[in-house]
Parts: sequence; C-alpha cells; structure tokens
Amino acid sequence: MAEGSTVVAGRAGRPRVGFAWLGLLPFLSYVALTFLIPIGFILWEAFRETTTGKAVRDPVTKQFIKETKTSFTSDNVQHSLHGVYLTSLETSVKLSAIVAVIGAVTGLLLAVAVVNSGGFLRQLVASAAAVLSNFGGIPLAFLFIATLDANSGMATVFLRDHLHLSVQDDLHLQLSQLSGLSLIYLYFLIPLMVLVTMPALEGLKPQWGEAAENLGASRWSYWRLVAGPVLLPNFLGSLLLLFCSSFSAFATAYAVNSSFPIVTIRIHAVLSGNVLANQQNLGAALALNMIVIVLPLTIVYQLLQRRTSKWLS
Amino acid sequence: MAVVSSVAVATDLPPDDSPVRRRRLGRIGDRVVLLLAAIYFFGPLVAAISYTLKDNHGGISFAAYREIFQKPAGAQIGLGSALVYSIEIAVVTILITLLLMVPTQLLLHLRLPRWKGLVEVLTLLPLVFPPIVLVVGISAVYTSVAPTSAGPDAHRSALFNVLKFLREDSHPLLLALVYVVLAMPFVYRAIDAGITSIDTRTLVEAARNLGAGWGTVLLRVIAPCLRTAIVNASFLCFALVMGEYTISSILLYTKPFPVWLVQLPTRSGQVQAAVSVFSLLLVEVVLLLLGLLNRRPNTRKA
Repeated sequence: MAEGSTVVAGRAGRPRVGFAWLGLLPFLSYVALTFLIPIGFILWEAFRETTTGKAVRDPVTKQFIKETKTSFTSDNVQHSLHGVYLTSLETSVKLSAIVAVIGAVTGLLLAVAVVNSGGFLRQLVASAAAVLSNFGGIPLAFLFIATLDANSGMATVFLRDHLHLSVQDDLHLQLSQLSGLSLIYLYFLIPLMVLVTMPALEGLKPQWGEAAENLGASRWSYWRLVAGPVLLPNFLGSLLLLFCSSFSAFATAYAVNSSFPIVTIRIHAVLSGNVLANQQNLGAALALNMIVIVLPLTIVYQLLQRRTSKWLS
Repeated sequence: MAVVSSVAVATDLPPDDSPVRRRRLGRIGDRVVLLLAAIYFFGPLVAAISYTLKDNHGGISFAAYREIFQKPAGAQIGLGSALVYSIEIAVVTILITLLLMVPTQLLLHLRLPRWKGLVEVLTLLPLVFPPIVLVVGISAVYTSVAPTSAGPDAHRSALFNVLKFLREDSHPLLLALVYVVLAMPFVYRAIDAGITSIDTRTLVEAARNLGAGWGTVLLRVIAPCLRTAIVNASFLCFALVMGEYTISSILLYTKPFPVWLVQLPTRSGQVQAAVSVFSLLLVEVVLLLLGLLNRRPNTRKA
C-alpha cells in the first residue's frame, strides 16, 4: 500500500489542465488523417460523378482534350442498390444472419460446457478461443480447402472411400457456396462467441443458483427466470458482434471463391476493375451501404454492453 | 449412453437426490458438446496437416514443407522474403502504435480524464468501419489527389507525391499507418488495463519529485510497469499485420505474407495448406511466448 503524503498532495492540487490538451493533438490529427478523412471521402465520393464533356481544342498546345466535370448525383447509390449489387448485399446479410445465429447458440452451449467443467480445460479453451477468433483470413480458407475440397479434400476422400458418402450430394456441403462458407466462418465465430460469453457466465453468482435451488426451482426455471434474463443483453450483443464480424469479412470468402456474391467481394471487384466510368464512386456507394447497415448495429451493441455490465461485473 | 435415458426424467425423484442427478445429466451433455467442438476445431487442423504430408503413393513426405522453405515453383519471392516483409511492417506498426498511444493514454489518465470518452470512441471506430470500407476511402483520397489531364496543380501534386512516397513498394509506410488505426480498438484496451492496474499518478509524481525528466519517467518508470500491457498490445499488432489481406491486396502490394500466400500457383494446394499450417503454428508460438512473459511478474510477486 503506497499511501502517503504524495498522493494526498497530488489530489489536493487539482490536476492542472492549462495546455495539457495540446498533448492530444498528435493522436487527434493522426486519427483525422488516416481514418476520418478517408471515411469522409466515401460520403463525398458516393454522391459525386464525373462526366466527360465534348472535346475542345486547347488554345496553347493546339491539342484536343476532353473536359471532365464532377457534379452531385444519386446515381451511384441507386446503382449500388440494383441488380448484382443488391443481390450481393442480400447474400451478405443472409450469410451473416445465418452464421451469427448458429455461432451464437453453439458458442453459448460450448461456453456453458467449458465453464461447468472448470479448471485446466477452462484455461485451455480460453486461450485456444483467443487464438482461433483471430484466425480468420487466408490460412483458414486453405485449411478448409485441404479438408473439404470437392475432389481432393482429406475428409471428402475419407467419407467417400470408407463411408460411401458424398460431401456434395449427401451432406449438401459445397465449400464455395453458402453452406461451405458458413461452416468456415463458424470456425472463428464460435471461438469469438465463447470469448465474449465466458466472462458473462463467470459473472453469474453461484448464490443466485443456490437461492433458486433452495426455493425449489428446477434447473430449467433457474435458466428461464434468473440466468436467462441476466445473460440476454450479453447474448443479443454478441449476436450483433458476430453479425458485423462476418458481414465485414472478406479475405476468407475471397480465397475460397473469388466470385462469391457478397458485398465485400463485389467492392473488391469494383475497385480492381477499371472498366466502367465512375468505378470509384460506385465503390464508395457500396461502402456507404455497408456503413449504413453496420453503424446502427454497433450502436445497439454498445447500449446492450452497458446493460450487461449492470448485472455482470 | 444408457445413463442418459435412465435419468432423463429426474423431476419425480426424491428432492435431496435430484440436484446430484441433474448435475450428472448436465455433465454428460457438456461432454457431448465438448467432444463435438473438439472434432470441429481439431478436425480441419489434423486433416490439413495430413494433407500436407501425404505423397502420391500413400506414404508420408515432407516435400511440401521443403518447398515452402525454398522458393515455391512459380512464386516471385520465397516464404522467407514474404515473412520478413510482413514482419518489417509489423515492427513499424508496433513502434508507431506505442509512441502514439502510450503517451496519449497516460496524458488522458493523469491530466485529461474528461477527454477519455472521446478518445475511446475514436479508437473504437475502426470496428464500425470494416477494413474494406477504409480502403475504399483511402483509394478515393489517392485518386482525388492524383494528377489529372486538366493540368498540373501545385497543391495536388505535392500531396500526391507524399502519398506516393508512403505507398512505395520498398517501404510501405502507408500500410503501417493504416494498421495502427486498425489495431487501435484492441491496443487501447490493452494499454488502458495496464495503466489503471498500477498507481500511475504516484509513480509519476515520485519520479518527478526526484528530478526525473518526462523522458526518464516514460522509459524507466512507466514502461517497465506497463510491460505486460505493452507486450499484449505489440502482439495484437503483430497478429493483425501478419494476417491482414484486404487492405494490402487492394492497394496492390504483392509481397506481404498473406498476399503472397494467395498468389501461390493454385496447383500447389499442398504447399498452400503447408504454409497455412505453418502460419498458424507461428501465431501459436508467439502467443505461448507472450503467455510466459505475462506469467513472470506474477510468480515473482507470489
């Protein structure tokens, strides 16, 4: 305990503010330059278009040049909500919703099982979950290709040769389609769910369970009337977290099937192609669509988190 | 399995007996869940490892691993160069992150607690805007300052030259600068946990009273106390940089490790799987080292 006159003296003299806020300038300008300005550009570019006018002769060089004009438009946003772009947005939402629900439910079951078994296993799973929830991206895709590739995957071959099961026809699992991608996404979403649920489960006070038991409640009514309501905000919040996390995923899906119709892959295609006019603006409009979906969910998530910490701290 | 059915209806058993039986039933359920999870999480790993080790005659071969440590056929650079390239970016990212975040967060804690909310919200923003959205914004900035046919514009070309310099393939500072932002949500929390867990104010005041300058305070008093937090933050940056594909590929870099991995010729599926297994083990080893580093101060205290 380092209590003494220094602490008291420090408290007595109010923290001097003065020019201290100038110390925040490096941080604030860094965030502005590397983050806020690029995001601001999306809002701007999504509503701009460049039109090429007729060719005019330059008075000095005597060469024909085409005049370009930029102006405000809502075409990009409308374009981004039609045809293949709309389909990609729908597929993204569908995929994310499916994996969020499955991931949240299975993750919760797994977390309950782990917390119940306690001790060494709990520690092991906690650190494994920390590794696996970060294990997205390219290596994850190749891991599953090696396992479940339609022709040469290890599990595919094993099931075909030993159990006479076809992964594609009998299990309806196609790695490059919605079913396969869901399976792959769950590989990092379930650990993420375990990671965010375990502290909440550990926050359930044993006294609540004992009190319920003493009052004659069955295990089911304890979960329905005590633990369930306490955990609900955390569960819903985690559901949103999982949704956003899979909604914004790109690399894994791209490595498995670079033409799968989800919005992130569509953005990549728009940015890397230089075929159409106003590509840049269309990309910005697609990005804007993503923001419009993710932003409200994140705000709700933050509110739910606050509600969670009311009971479980 | 027979046990499950015999205790399935536990409600009409004597009350003093039921909690025990109920717990046993729960335990079996837990075991089943854990077993299924083990199959799902270890299965692909085991399958991928055996996939990389098989040869055409049903035997075992390390050829795929040998190939990645040489230069895979058809690849522009070898695994070593790709890893070094990414590690260099990671080191720069970590340096910028620590130099930016540790002093800022100390200042917030010691002098400007009222500003903490704003800074926290700013650091959380990268979670709201996915990397692919951020990269759309960056390339929008890039093209909007790029020289146009309309003629040279002094302002624009100066800005463009700065951006072009940052983007240079030989020293991709642009990537490091962006990764610092992506890592902020995690780094902020790691460092904040460190700062609030020690009595920072007393330490700083004691050091200042003894005549230490701010540099000494930061490097010789605060940094050692925040060792765990700093190591955690650095690891988070490292893991992020080693796995980041979206931004580096869209900005047309070819040498970072994940981009290199995708660019491997598709016929070498075995090699790609081998590199994936290798990179997972790499992250695992770093995490293990981190765990050891984290444990040391605790054991000394005990």
